[in-house]
Amino acid sequence: MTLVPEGSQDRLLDGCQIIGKAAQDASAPMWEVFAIQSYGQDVEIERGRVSLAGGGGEGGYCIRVVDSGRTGFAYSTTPDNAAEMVRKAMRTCALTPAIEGLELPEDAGSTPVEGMWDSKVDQITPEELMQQADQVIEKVSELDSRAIVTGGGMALSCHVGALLTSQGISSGGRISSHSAGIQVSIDEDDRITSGWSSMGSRSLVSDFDGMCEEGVEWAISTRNLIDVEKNVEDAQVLFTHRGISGLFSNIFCSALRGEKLSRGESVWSGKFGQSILAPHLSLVDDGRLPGGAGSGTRDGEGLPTRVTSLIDSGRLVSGIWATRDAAEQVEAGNVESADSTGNAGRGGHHSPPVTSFNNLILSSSDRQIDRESMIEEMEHGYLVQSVMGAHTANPSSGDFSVTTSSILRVKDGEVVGAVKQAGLSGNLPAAFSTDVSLAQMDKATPLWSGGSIIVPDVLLRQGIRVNCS
Amino acid sequence: MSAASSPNTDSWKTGRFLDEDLAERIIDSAKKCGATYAEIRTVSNRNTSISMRDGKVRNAVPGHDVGATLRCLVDGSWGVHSTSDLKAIHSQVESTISMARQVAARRSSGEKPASLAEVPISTKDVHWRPLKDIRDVDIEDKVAVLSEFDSMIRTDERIVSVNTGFSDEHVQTELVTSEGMNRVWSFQRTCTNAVVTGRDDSQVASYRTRVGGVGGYEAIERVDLDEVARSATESTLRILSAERSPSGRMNLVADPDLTGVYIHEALGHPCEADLVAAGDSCLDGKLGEMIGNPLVTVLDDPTWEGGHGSFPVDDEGLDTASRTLIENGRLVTYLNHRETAAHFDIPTNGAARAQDGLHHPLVRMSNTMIMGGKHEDLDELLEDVQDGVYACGTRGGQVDTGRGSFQFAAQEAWRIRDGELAEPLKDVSVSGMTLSILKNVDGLTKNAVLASPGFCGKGQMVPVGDGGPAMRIRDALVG
Repeated sequence: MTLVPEGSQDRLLDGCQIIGKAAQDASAPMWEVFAIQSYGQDVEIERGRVSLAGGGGEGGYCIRVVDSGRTGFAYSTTPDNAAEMVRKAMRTCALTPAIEGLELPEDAGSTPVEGMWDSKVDQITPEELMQQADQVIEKVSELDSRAIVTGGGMALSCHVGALLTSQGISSGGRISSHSAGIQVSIDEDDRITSGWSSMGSRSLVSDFDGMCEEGVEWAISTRNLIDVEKNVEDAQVLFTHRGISGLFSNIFCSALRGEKLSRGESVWSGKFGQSILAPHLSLVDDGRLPGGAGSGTRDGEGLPTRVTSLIDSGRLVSGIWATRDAAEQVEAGNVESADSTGNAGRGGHHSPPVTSFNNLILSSSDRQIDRESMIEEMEHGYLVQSVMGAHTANPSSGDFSVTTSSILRVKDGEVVGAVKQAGLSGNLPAAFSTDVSLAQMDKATPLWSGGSIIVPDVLLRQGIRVNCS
Repeated sequence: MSAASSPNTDSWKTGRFLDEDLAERIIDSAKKCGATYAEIRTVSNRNTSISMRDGKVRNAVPGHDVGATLRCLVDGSWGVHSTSDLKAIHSQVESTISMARQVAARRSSGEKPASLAEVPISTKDVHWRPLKDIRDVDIEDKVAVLSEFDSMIRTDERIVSVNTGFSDEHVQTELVTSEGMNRVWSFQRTCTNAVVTGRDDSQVASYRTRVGGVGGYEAIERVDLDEVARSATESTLRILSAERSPSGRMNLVADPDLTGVYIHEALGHPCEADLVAAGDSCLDGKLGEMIGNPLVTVLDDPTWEGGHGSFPVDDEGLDTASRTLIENGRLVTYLNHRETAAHFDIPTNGAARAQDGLHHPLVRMSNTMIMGGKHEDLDELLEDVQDGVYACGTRGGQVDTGRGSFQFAAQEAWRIRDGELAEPLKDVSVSGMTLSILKNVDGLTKNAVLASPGFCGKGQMVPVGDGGPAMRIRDALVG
């Protein structure tokens, strides 16, 4: 018994062909039919035990029509009403402006990305998934008898997709994923402390020890509260990879979209070729990372994925584009030329493709050391594992003001205890442009800790205000 | 103050999406396989989504989604199956029961099995009929309104970008249970929103606004979009020249928007009984205790007219009604669904909500409000503040329900000096501990209003409303 029913891929392609035929019959000049079907299983953990098991599947079909630079879109859960879908797409086409030069992409070939499918994920039974959850619960208890997995769970998913276009693209594929997340709490002496950890992979994961250790470690380390001077100071802050990924994603991903750069909506608009980050930092979008959370053989418009350099040695060199945004911004005169960078993403069959990141990877040409050595080198400051309110950061300016209860004080190169709660504020692009160091990517770091944001621990020596009032 | 949104008219019924006989056969099958309780909930969502950038349509998508979730309670544990393929759900009964049994087998002898509080078994359909059915309005007309809204905003050369959106949905839910509950309910929700970006030299600022709520097309037609646009433009330009927020402990006055987010994040979430039962709430064991200043009364009302979080029947089939969570500072009840009402042995209050037909219900808020106090108006509330911050609007918030800490961010703010509003500020955020801050509320204006529509994520995204009067908090941690 497998999660994905036999013949799913063929059925999706057949459905795409039915809708494509309806588009041809309606004389749609250019069309693109996308279909996806997802199957999954999940187990919820609550208060130290498995509390619910679930399964299911969902999916559907969508069509995008392009007629003289205008685009229309419609979707349905079945191909049975193909003619109605095409009619709706063509009707909405008339509502959009004509964009000169907008055409759906031709087939440019593709090379598969390794590590995107593991048949073991497809074959695991609900009982086996529950046994994994049992093991996680036991491991946490073994690590510290006070620690309980108060929330979280495990999930498996398999997605089957197909794309058929009037421009000659006919493609199908499948991806699998296995993920887990836990909140570990210690409730003792009338005080609850918590640690959160998660991991995920395109392959079946059998070892969750690293995830359990991280969750328990933070639930323990934040218990040792120390008195801190109630003040506001500019301080060095070492963000763990988990602590920085939310802010990084919210601010940097928004700022590096091609259309935001060209329309003056990005903090880096008008700065192509200029130095915007510390000169040792580089940032790429890698759609071909083997087994990556955001990898794929083709993007959502059928173009082959690739590696795009965005910031090279601190200088802004490119943004990311999907076909429509590129044509629109060229026509508007906001940019001289722009082409898709293979960054059309699809959130499912409910909406047209939009410009989105694949795997955003931050690296440094400087010497990189591990977290412990970095704490020693920073001498005085704070170590932050998670922040609340990363989504409230201002992506247009890069300003943020968040709070944390997972913060440790560092003095004389050692962690000396936890701060109950502190505010952190600053401007992230500015902080990354001055005195910043990246730690080594920790081998023990749980996979996909930041999803498709791949950032190691980051030490920001300037520009962060810490409010322990 | 609070009223049902619209008359109940059975004549407004639409057909069922999951055949009633098939639904009953599925439930019978689940019972035969050993379910002590089984339900099948089918949700149809017919919607329109339009996005526009600088006056040009990006997307105009008419959509229709249908999903169903089978939920079975077996030996005191849950198994769930969700699918968009309604024809196939019958074949999943045995596997769903089997999963529930496997969960039950893991329960230790000391653990309480899940059970459901007794509720009235209803077969009554409820339809909140809008004044102007969104399904009768052409998509071209919806685009025209959005286009007009957009043009009202782009009135200053420093406004470099305007992104606007329109969304509406007609939601119909069908519930058939093994206890004989068999009902259909429906309502509509309509909203429009804008994100305005301004640039002045090197400064970039953005401002978001959203209006609308439960109701048909009239939910937008009754809004003065010109005023919303003017206000959004002014705010964006003001933020461009605003100073960074001071940091430290200070007096904070929040407008109704921010008051609403505060009460949603800091109090509403810890009041959700599933979090309390999971040991993840700072309000565990505090029922009946004074947890706030006696000035503070909080209610959650799914029947609030036009509220973004309103709904006529909860996702376990219970008719909704307003519920008081805090009365004059005392914690009165937890928001609950049938399982958690039984767990805590408290009356049910119809707070079961699922994101759609593909998710099972959790305990969720609807429209959460702090009720008005004694101060006549904002001026009177500011009068006693020598130094502080007046913060308005929201960019969202987050809560750690277990530790009882929260954070939320304002869209714009002013410094308060000697009881008067002084220079504008930007990037103001407020954080604190729920149980301390509730006691530090020391002033509320008389008039409580529902603020901007919002969304709440708790693994599932649901529309919510919140609001209140202007609120003064002593000694808040401002960042």
